[in-house]
Amino acid sequence: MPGDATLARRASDDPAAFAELYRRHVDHVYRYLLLRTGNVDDAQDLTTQTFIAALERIGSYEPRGTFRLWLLGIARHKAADFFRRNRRTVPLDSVEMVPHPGPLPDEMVSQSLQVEHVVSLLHRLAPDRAEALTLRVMGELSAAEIAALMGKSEAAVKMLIHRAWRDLRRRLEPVTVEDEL
Amino acid sequence: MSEENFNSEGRAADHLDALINAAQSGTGAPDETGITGFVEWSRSLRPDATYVDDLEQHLMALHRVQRHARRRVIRRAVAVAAVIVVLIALLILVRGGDGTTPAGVAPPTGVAMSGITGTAQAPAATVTRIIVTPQLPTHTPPGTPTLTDTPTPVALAATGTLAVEIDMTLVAANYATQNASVQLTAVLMPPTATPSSTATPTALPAVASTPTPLPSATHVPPALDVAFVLDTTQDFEALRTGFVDGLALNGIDVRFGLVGYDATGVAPITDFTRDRTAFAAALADLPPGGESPGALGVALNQALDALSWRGYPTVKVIIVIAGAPDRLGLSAAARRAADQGVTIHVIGVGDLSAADTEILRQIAVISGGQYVPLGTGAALLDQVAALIAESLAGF
Repeated sequence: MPGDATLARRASDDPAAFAELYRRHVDHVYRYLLLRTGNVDDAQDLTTQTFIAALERIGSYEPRGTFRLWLLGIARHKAADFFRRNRRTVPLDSVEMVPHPGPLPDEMVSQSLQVEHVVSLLHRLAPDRAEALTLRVMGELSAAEIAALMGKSEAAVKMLIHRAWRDLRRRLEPVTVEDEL
Repeated sequence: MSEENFNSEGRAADHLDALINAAQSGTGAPDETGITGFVEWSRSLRPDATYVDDLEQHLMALHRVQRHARRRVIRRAVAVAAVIVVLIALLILVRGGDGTTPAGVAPPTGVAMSGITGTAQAPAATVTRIIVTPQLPTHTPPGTPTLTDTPTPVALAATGTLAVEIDMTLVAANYATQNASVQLTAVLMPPTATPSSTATPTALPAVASTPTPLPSATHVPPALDVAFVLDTTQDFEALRTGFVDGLALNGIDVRFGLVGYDATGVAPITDFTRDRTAFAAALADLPPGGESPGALGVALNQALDALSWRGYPTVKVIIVIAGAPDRLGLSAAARRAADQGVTIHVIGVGDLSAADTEILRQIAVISGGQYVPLGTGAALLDQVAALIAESLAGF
């Protein structure tokens, strides 16, 4: 099975190579964007934008880091553009109270509530901490890769992740999923 | 080991990082920080399978479009390079004749001659061929005689006048051409009914003609066919109300056609017309569409097939004003347009997703056109005018 770098070199001329890269990384990109936006539609829209941009730039891709690092770098910019264009009109404190647009299976409701809850808590963290934790857990980047992306040292990134998780865990504990259901 | 046992926050951060690594590699176990559970929960968040499949199909379609566009660019670059090489070679060849250009004379690029006539001094005969010999002025390298065979032998009366239409450009005349002329020589064959008569070819007298300079492109108003392909579910009121007076294309032989569409198909088509008032009336009468997404692929194919496009050198343009499109057949329609020399410009209207915007942009790119988002109010006409001007600029 060829590695990401090999596939990326072939991807501008070989649709199958790009498709393989897409299948390998779409989950990570989507999870990262879902936790950034807290909304499935927005996450899907930004995931689409990310991969279209990746397709346009794949010919100039240079494997300085991993392919996923490159991809999440694009996703990060797309998310930043999204937040610049869409100023939030719903106070973050009320995110959990926003009604879901339609009936969903119990399992999906449960999952949706968890995502919305976690996202609402992440938005209350310092932005750098939330970003580092999201990239580390959802994007599955290493601390070193996140350091390259955020322009910080690896030790600083580990510290950000540690503090983010400490703050998030403290806020998560009083409201568990079981409590909500 | 509890977190409090670490004597520094840095060591705790390293420990947490190791726990995350273990959880992500599948070797983690529930731990005192709870991070393993968080990692496992995050991995349960997966995009909808239908969405993933649809996006993959969309990306593959875009991939094909991009490869096609890249190949077109390469082909054009090669063609341009070849033309440049040929022009340079011709320039070197011509300048090699006497090596100089007369001072003060701007070297024209060529001279076109046509409509030259000559009178035969021969008995009834059949013209088998006509020899055209350029007579070029001093300083001009000798032109190579151009042999023009008549498509079919022409019967010539004893005292008749032979009209010869010549359409040629003396590329070698890269000097002063004011005095250029041609000599016609008709090679005659006696009628087959009198095989005993002399078969000596008789030459037509030399006939001087005044060369007609090649008109520059700026002096020739180009012909322009513009088809509007309108998504009738969208608002294009500015076009409906201001079209007759708002689109100035003075001096250009322009015709307008109209194809309206919605999700159910294409409205009655208005074929190309020079009558702006009639076209504006057709615009005004276009029924508002109902369902979306509009069948843009169907509408583009209808515009290509049902409208009476003129041939070269007409500039052929489709202006699409579209909301979110049904993607069926879009790329193929755009490629057809490109193959037929029709440029598609797209103006995006309404609340378009990034994917829809990208699709509309690619449709324009495939055919060498542009994509622009809709402006507000009267800006729509300005955008249309700018896109048409863009197409004319390349003529």
